[in-house]
Amino acid sequence: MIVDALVVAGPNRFRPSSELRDIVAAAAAAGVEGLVVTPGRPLAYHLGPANDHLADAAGAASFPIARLGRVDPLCGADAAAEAQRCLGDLGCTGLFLHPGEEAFPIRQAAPVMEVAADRGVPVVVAAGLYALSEPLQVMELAAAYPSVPVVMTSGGQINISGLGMLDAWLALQHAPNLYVMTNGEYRQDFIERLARDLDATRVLYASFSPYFDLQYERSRVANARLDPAARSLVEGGNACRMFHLQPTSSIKH
Amino acid sequence: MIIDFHTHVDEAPAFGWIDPPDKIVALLDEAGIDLAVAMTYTDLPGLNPDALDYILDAVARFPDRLVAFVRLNPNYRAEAAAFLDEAVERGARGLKLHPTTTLAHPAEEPTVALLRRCGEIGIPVLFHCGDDPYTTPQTFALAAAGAPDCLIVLGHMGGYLHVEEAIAVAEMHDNLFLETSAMPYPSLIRVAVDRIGADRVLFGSDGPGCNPALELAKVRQAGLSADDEVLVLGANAARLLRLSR
Repeated sequence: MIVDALVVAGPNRFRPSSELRDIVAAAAAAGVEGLVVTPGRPLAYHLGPANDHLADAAGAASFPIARLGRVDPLCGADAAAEAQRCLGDLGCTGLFLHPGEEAFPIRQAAPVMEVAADRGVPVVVAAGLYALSEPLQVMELAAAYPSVPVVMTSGGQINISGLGMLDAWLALQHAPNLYVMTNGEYRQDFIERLARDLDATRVLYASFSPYFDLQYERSRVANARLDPAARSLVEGGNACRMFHLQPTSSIKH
Repeated sequence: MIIDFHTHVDEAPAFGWIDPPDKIVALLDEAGIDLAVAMTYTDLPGLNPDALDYILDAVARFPDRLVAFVRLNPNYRAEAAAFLDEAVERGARGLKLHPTTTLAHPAEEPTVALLRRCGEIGIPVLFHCGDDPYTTPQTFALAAAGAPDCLIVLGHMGGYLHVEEAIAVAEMHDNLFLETSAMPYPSLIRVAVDRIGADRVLFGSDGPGCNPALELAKVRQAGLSADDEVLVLGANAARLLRLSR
């Protein structure tokens, strides 16, 4: 089962808004068989309604979908409460943090990480953002919460000189509960090295659409030289395991 | 004819890159690419004093597949200028500059002097253009203004975060071109073509680290007209390289 392990749906202040049904259609056209979805940051500040909107949309979709609750750690106790609500009432199987759009350094994610540790769920972090979620900053977060799987988007680094790539590699080596997504990782040989020399169970194919191109990010992983076992894990096995995604039915709330 | 305007051949253990020419040529074969501009990872003068011999030898091994660009550190001024003249005399068809590795600012005199020299002798210059200081599109706008006769190609067309700015500076300076490698947004190739014209956008892969087949697929995904795609995938490069074939 091929799973795009991160797309962003719904109203989005920072990118073109995409409704979940349109994303599902585009994903299916690209050969994707399951999705992990989190809401965009809506034009209004509050993330709670965005989590509700996504839950409703996913409930109406006839496509395997897992959801990540999006929370803003700067909201403190309210962030923890929203995380609990997402994981409980809304049926999310993980949480999503965007230090760029919610404007917080990842070290301030403690209120959310405490909930994730308590509930035993993974946390996906929009990574590679200067001073906010550099790979070694995310590594420190993962090290502080060793029971929480922490997933870095974007190969852990967003830098066309590749200057963050070694930091991403070192972070992954030092924090065994740290995982990485393939979106935007321009060095195919780095993706291949992660799967071959690090651990194929810690690499997840994701597009992070609409921040990255859904179709092209699918091609990026399809084009990588992975052995069959690694490919199965990277293209969907890891996402299914981590986010409890079932092949045949969407997760209802 | 498909021409990849940005590939590497080098054996630089200090960087962890062992990429002899056979490696990129095999990837070109796999992708159906006819010809590639090849350059080292190391700058001259610098870590590998034999870098010019290395790149010229690589091209001599694959004369129908590779075209040499010499990679220089402008901060060495007279030495860099001498290397440029020697490289061109021995067959190099362009210059590669990577301000992240040389710490030579594109708009300062040592670099601008080299750019002016390239303009005089009629060879293009490929810059790494991305997300760090010394490599932002605005730095190249200043450089382009300082060397208006030099054809300057912005590799990666701004990288992850500066693509819009790369297109904008290319709109302002006719001697700026955009090269598509590594930049992850296929739709922005189409935007660039629409705004600056298909005759100033060039396909590049930055292989072998980036896979040429995937990079080629990115350009084809951009939805260009057939005529524009011909320009981007090879005709523009042939014009800049003054290829007769």
